[in-house]
Amino acid sequence: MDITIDGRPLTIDRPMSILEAARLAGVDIPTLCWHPRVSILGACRLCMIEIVGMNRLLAACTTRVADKMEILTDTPALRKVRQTMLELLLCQHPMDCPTCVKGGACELQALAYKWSAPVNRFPENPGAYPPVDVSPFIERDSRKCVLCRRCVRVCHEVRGVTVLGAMHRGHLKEIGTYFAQPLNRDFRDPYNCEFCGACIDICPVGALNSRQHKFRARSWEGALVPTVCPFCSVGCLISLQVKENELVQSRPRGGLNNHDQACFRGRFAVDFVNSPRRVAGPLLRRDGVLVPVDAATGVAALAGQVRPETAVMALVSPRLTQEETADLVDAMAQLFPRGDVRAVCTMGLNAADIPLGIGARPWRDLEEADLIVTAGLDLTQSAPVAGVRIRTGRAAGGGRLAVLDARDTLLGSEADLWLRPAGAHLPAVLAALGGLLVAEHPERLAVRPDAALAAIFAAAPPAAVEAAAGLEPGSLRSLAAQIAAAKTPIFVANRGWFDPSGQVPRLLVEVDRLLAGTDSKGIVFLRTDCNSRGTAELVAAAEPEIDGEPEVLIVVAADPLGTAIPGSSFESWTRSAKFLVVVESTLTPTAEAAHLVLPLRAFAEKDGTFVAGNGVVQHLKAALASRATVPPLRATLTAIAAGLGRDVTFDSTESPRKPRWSPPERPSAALVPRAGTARCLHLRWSPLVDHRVRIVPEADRIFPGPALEVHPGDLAGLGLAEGGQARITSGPAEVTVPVRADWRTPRGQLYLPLDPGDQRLSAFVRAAVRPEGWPLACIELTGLAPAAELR
Amino acid sequence: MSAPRYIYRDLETPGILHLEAYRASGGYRAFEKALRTMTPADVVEVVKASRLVGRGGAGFPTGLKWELVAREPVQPKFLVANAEEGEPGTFKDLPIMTRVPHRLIEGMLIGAWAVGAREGVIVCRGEFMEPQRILRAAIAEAEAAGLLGERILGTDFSFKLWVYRTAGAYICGEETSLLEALEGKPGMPRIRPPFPVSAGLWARPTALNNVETFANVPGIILEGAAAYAALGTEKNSGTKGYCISGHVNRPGVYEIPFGVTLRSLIDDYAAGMLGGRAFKAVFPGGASSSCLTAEHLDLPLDFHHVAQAGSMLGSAAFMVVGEGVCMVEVALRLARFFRHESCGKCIPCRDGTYQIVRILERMKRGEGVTCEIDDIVDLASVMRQAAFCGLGQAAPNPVLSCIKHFRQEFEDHCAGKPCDLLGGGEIPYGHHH
Amino acid sequence: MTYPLAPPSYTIAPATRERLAKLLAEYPSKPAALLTALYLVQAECNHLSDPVLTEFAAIMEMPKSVIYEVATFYSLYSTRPVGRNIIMVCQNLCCFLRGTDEVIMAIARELGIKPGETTPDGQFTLRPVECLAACERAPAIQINEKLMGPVAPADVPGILAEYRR
Repeated sequence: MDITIDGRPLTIDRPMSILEAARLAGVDIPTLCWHPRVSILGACRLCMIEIVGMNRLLAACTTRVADKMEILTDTPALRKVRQTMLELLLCQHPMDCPTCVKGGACELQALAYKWSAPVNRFPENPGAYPPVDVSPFIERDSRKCVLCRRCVRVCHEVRGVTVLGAMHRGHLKEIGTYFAQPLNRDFRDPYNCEFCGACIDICPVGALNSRQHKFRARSWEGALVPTVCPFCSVGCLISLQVKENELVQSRPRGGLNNHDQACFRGRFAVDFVNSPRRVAGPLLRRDGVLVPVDAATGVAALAGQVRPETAVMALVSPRLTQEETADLVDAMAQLFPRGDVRAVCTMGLNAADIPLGIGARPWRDLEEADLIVTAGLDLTQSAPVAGVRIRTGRAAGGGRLAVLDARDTLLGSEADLWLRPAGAHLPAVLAALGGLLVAEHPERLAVRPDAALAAIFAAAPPAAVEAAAGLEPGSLRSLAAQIAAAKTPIFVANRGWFDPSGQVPRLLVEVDRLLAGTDSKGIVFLRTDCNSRGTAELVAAAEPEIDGEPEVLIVVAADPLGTAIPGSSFESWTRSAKFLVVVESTLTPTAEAAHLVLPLRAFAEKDGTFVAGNGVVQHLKAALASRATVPPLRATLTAIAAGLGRDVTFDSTESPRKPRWSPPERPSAALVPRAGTARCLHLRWSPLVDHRVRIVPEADRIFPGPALEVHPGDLAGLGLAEGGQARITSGPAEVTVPVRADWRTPRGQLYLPLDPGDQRLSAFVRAAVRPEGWPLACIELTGLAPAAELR
Repeated sequence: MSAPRYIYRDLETPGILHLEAYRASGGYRAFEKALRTMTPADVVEVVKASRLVGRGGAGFPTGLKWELVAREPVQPKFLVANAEEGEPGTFKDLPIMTRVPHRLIEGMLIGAWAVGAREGVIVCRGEFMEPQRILRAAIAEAEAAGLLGERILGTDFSFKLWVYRTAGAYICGEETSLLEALEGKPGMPRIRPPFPVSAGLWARPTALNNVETFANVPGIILEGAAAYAALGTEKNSGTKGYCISGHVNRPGVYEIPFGVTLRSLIDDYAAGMLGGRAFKAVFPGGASSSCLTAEHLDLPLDFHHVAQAGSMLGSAAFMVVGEGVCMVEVALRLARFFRHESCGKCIPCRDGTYQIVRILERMKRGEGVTCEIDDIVDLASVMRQAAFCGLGQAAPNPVLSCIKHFRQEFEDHCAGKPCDLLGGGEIPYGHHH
Repeated sequence: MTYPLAPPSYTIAPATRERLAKLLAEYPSKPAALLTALYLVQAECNHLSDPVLTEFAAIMEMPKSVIYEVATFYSLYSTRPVGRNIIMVCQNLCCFLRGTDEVIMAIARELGIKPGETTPDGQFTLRPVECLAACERAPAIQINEKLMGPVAPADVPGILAEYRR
């Protein structure tokens, strides 16, 4: 199509709106309600344009270009319209610009600067809405709202949470919430605010602000440093605003994995780098108390414990950068020949499932898949942006979504097929699914299962599995049929359940291989840590066989006492080590138990590389200068070496380091569900929260501590009360926890989220009776009155 | 004075509310004729030839609308009757709905046959609780007689008719807002294109017509297009339900062929001005129209002539203002109406109606400034150009026309002169919603 | 608006839930039934309060914010308590020309409340509204479902007496 814009010719080769065409031509048409991320509204009327030959003005965002259109974007009539729109907006807008948080980054300011008339004929009358709002983290000031409804659209369309809405009518219209209640995490309500901050990012004016960063700096102050979020393995790219060596604010930026979205952690929880509870320098335990010492003293204390025959083990977490992990491996190999380095990941991955699904599967594939199958717990909670990508990918590509998730989640409620097997039975469900594919859709398979796998499938007959897992008869058959009918199914899994041997992802990898054969690109595995994938390429995670226990244990950025599987070797070594050294940025439970704590730079203080869960390599850039007493890991290792009277070289091409991972283990015999298990408690991780999140002020308003999760309808029958407590006994183990009514819990089930760092729960789980390691415990439950002491 | 021939025919016949009497007066014969002897395309041609245009106010040619929907190959298709009757001054559809509902049903049946719709909805405004019950009862009668539902009159043609009540918003009279309400959402108008004829209710092709439009159809089918087209004026064919109220002796709605003059409407049909007072102004198309004054008394009242006189006939809702009424108050009442009913989606309407009311209220209190009159005029021109939908575009019409014809009253208010006309005093209350 | 009655703690009674379920079954989808369903619940629960709409949202399987958007957009839904009888008086142009202001004030005086308020005993809510499509009988009022007009101030006590209990 050939058109002209302001006299300039332009050729358009695909259908688009006049606004898009103008942007292509570099012509500036003012907009307010339009945003590339959300649907078109056409409400602000700022983008009106004239078309030669038509006597009406048209909105550029809602009008499609047609052949031979002559568009005019700057005429006296249009200027008049823009001036009037701005007059009307500004006369109700509080003139707070000098002190407004948004000053300098405000689109209304920019529009007024460019388009408004010098005098406002309508006198100032800022609206009557009170600016007071008591939500944590997100501040809403309705007086400044221009009712562009971008926040409502991003909350509904992109995040799916649907908390904000445009309430009332006409001049009383107001962006608000249900009954104007503050934004809150209410676990009795399926649609409640996730505090992802997407609304803040999309708001053009100062009506939605981050409470956390308010008044720390103006929008133009300081530097913007691009880096990567240090929480989960989706690997969102973020941009840190830094002023005078303090982190002001973190905002998402465009990335392959996250588009332009982030979650609470990447947006608000990264504030932990500012916390005064950071480890500021070496701490040594003297008389049972950790006291600050200088580096030399600390290193000497460590050196004093090491003899040539000492067994020294390093435990590293996948939260370190690739460079740091490589340095550690080099140092350990050179300093302690009788030593070893192992990875202990958050949520207790202790078997070799880090390399699972090692093919790099771009998130973009989700948009082309005709079927997405997710299996796991609370995908949208453990990696929220993954949930957003799955939803929006499916919306863009038109594919179907099947969800295997016991809990009531956004993803499940939007799925085309939603099965809710009780958590313990998910591996059996997947085995039954595999069996159905083999038995009923053999033509769909690229390869046949070998004997071992066939045996696993055979041990999980669909009817029995459905009965035990509480599924409708025939639902597995429908799911198998859907999978068989799909040309490009993609499997997505996570580790929400207390699943020590990683059966869920293993089984999915097998099913995917059956369907795709050598063309298999693997599953999408949402690991828990930001560099799980990268660490897997450097360090093995399997529990090694060594004789005896390590006497000296160096734990780097890991938290075995808080996050390892209770009862695993990692946990027991941490307790039994004669000398425990913890290199960490914050005081984790493991650090609290250490003999020597050495400081570690936080993610914002170092350059480095993370490898996201799907293999994308992303780079961190140091945004803050850390204290002099917090050296880079390499310097710490060099100092330790010096303390031992040795040298250590890094980056040597002759380093004996080899990739220490072996191909992932096959799934073991799937757990056949047993009838008649007495009241069971399903254990799950609460992966959104780790110690870094806990030290962020007010984070506990968003993520209250662990509690026994019960469906509201089950409370009375169990003798429990919301706000009360429950004593859970299982064999010799006992723990008392608060009771929380949670809509998401399926009827008839009980969940106990294991908060990393809650020692009591870890102790309970260690000691609880669990048949053959099932992710549940047979328990007795007693309701207690709220008066009992917590923790 | 002319007798009702199409929409209000037989309104006085006893029992016409019910199926038996309706049929006895010739009801459903038009439908049978269409169903058994005409193809859908034939019906469309007849309606086109009659030059019937929409009676809800927009005046879109009905035959063309039905042709566009008939052409759509997608199923299901819907037929919707707009029974919102929200325009102040309009009450022409109520007699059809509450006294001869079967005429509406018959018109919809013919329309469904013409466009290929199998489901239809009559959408009443929320306040019409009694009319809704009457309609449901009439539908039940028709269903029992095999005139609605599956296999109507023994043919393959099926048509299921529902009644739906919206919840109190004038904007829902706008066709896309009405569809939003039917879909369970706030009634905010949609972006067009696409138009309802191709993507309407649940994104399906939908023929949406006013109740009065449907009520004309049986007569047109039975008596032929030519008879209908012969009535009225050169530009507008057929008859119209003219509502007249306000300062007249006999307010009511009268079915008259297009072209009756304003003077005749007031003097012959409405029995003259109330108490013999002088005529001051009239809003021919309800609150959305500009007022006409005494110079227009001999204007033939059809869409064309009224538009030429600078106003709009719309739904033909004549609100007559007699002498001794403060036009600032009149403008304020109608401005408040629009402020209350604005959906709030777009800036010009939401904030423009708010500002107009604010300025007029200041004028009433004697705090107005003369330049604010020009502010209103200026704002009004922007609203007309930039508003998202017809409500915002029409909202400034009343105040603009009052200023145009009675500017002195506005200036006197600004100058603080006491106003002893009706409504000129302090407003006794200002509560809105 | 002062409303001295203790806030009623309405939740949706089982009989209402049954009627709601029947209603929903008649519609092709839940959103299609939303406006009608809100009427049903409002009629049986007096008004659409927070607890009522929370339960309602769960039954409708729709987010609460979306339901609240609809409930606050339309004039005939009330999220605050209302009287047993709702008196709607038209305040638009034709009724004004025929004297609606006096009728509104007469009703207000008779009930002892201001326009927009509800009587303390919960009997009446006086609601000035826009055009009721009864301009030929101006001034028009509608009490609950009954449309009346023309009404004169002198008629007011008699009309209200019929509704007093």
